[in-house]
Amino acid sequence: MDVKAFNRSLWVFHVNTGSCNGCDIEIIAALTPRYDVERFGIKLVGTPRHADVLLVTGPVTREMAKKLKRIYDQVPDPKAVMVVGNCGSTGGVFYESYNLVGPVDKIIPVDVYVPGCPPRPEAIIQGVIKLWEKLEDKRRGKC
Amino acid sequence: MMMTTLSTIRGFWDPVLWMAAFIIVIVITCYIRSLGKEEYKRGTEQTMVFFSGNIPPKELISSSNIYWGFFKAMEKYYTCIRRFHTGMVNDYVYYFIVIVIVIIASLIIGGVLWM
Repeated sequence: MDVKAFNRSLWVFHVNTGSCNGCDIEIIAALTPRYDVERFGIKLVGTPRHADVLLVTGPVTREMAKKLKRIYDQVPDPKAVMVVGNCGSTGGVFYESYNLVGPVDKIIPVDVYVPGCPPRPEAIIQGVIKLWEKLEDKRRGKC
Repeated sequence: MMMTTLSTIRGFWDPVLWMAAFIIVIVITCYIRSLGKEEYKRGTEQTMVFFSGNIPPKELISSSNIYWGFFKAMEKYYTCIRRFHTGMVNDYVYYFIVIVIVIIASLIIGGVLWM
C-alpha cells in the first residue's frame, strides 16, 4: 500500500441517515482503545467542511436525502464516501420501504461499501484503508 | 521619546521585545494558515455554514439567546432593574449623589458610634 501522496491525517465526518445505531456503535468501537484508529491519524470531525471522508450509515430516509446531498457538497475536494452497513449499501431489511429513497448510492456517489449488520470494526478499518488508497489516486488525479 | 526597559521588583517590561514577540506570533500564525486546505470552491456549498445539513436560517440567532432561560428565571429582577436604566445622565448623577450621601452618612454615623 502506497499512501505517500496523502501525507496527513484522514479526517472523517459521520452521517446517520436513518441507521438503527448498530453500525454507529461499531464505528465508535473502532475508535476505542482495542482498535484505536486515531493512532493512524484517522479521526471523526464535527463538520463536513473539515473532512476528507464522508462516512454514511443507514438507509436514506426521505427526510435525510436533501440533507445528505448538502453535506456531501460541503466536503472539500478531493473527497471520498464510505458506506458502513447493509442498510446504507442495499437498503437491507428496509429495502423498498415507503419511507426510503436510498440506498446511499442513489443520492451521492459511493467509493467503498462495508457490508454487515453491523460490520465488525476490523471490516470498517479495512474499508477505511481501501478508501485511503482511493483518495490517494484522486489526489494524484488517477480517477 | 526613547523606549527603554522598565524594571520592577516582579520583572521587566520592554516594548521592543514585546513587538518582536508579537511579530513572531504573526509569522507563525501565517505559516500555519498557509498549510490549510486550498481546495475549497468559493460560492458553493463548500464555503457555506454547516447547519446539520439544513439550509442556514437567514435571521441570525444572537449569542444572547443562550441566556434565554437565565433571563426568564430572573424576569422579575430584570423588570425592576430596567426601570433604573433610563439612559439619562441626570438620573445616573442623581443615583451617584444618593449613594455618596449614603456612604458619607454611614461613615459619619459609624464613626460617631465608634467613638
